[in-house]
Amino acid sequence: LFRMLAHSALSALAGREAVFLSARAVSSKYPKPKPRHYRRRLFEAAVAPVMPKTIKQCTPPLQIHQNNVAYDKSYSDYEVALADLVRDYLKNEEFRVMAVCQFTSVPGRTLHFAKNQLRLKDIEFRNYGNKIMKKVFEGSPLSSLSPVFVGSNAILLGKTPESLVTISKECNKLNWIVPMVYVLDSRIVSSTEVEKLAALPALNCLYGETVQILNQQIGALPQSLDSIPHSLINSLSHLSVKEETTGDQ
Amino acid sequence: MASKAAARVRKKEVVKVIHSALLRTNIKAQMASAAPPLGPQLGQRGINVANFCKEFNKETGHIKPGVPLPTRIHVKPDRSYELEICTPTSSWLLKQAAGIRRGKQNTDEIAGMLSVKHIYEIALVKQKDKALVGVPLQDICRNLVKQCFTLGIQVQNEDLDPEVLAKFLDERRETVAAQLQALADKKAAKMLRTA
Repeated sequence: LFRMLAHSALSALAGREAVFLSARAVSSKYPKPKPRHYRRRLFEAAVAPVMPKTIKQCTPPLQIHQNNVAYDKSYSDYEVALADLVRDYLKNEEFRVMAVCQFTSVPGRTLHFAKNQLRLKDIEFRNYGNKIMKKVFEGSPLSSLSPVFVGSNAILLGKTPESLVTISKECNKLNWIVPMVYVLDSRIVSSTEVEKLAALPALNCLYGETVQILNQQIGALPQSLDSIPHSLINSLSHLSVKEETTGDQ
Repeated sequence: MASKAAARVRKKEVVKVIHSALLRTNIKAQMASAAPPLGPQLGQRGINVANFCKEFNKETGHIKPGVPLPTRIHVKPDRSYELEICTPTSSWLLKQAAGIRRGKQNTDEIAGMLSVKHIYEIALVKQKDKALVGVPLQDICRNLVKQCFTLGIQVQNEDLDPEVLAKFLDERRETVAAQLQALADKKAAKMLRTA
């Protein structure tokens, strides 16, 4: 009977006011039974603070959704300041290459060591979040990269065009980062083009090959010009020899 | 009542804890021993504690005894391990450079004084760590300055004046002695209360 009375008192209290469960400063090394003992619950209901009744507002779900979408799209002062900071950093450091990569979460230790290794190869790893990056490139030619900044992304930055190949090769070694699109001096380059470029030999070898081809063409020009008089001389000498032989006959 | 009886009857399940393969700890140079906390940490991971201590003390034989060294032990499945001994802790290096043994106790207290040259030299030492390979020296210096702020060490651009520094260290010695005395008195009062 006493238990029934206590339960009814508790439910009456719970019905009238909000019941707040307070935490005691006791050891948490042994589990407490859930729900707590009725005497404990009575005590907590009795010492619960008296709060004014909150008026429940009935908001349509569509309005809630629209409010949430508007809140997500808006930028706080801190986010705007961070976007400005990132923009200034990209300009001041004079980065020429940027790779937008899909980035899966890895333990902090692994990420720290990978960042250091990339830095040794003159590649900077940065992860500011998609919202900030969209704001950074807003109103610039790279604003067309906005559809890429979806999901979990990071950016890799380099200062020389050779960084394109370096980024591609280094990302092949890591299984938690995949480059999706590259940017070289405001020009967007797809990852397939960069992979073809990475398959080629080193840039110095390409320079040497280009110079060799040009030298060949330049060398072939006088040869082709000389070939006409040489062939004329040969044909005339051949004719003269033929005339001599027919004259002798 | 029923719950108490149930708790008495219910058996406690012993859960075997699987410890991580990486053990990060600070061990004093030439002072590795099987005593806690190091002994249990190594034993839980299946490492031969005596061999480890012998190896560690041998490898740190060239370092002054008692210097705290951050150590990373990678334990492999076959219970062998890779030992990585880093350069002394930044806080120890900073306190040594400032000539103090104790950091600040209160918020606005100045525990020591250093110049940026000290920070630079300490950064050169810390740069040799495997975890800091590839990190720019500027970032290492910034982290050291942050740590100075935590310890209460004032960093200045100009070189330290020996007379000013000597006077400061004398005053600091008295302040630390007073603080330690206050702590000892507090402890004694607590023991008398509880006795």
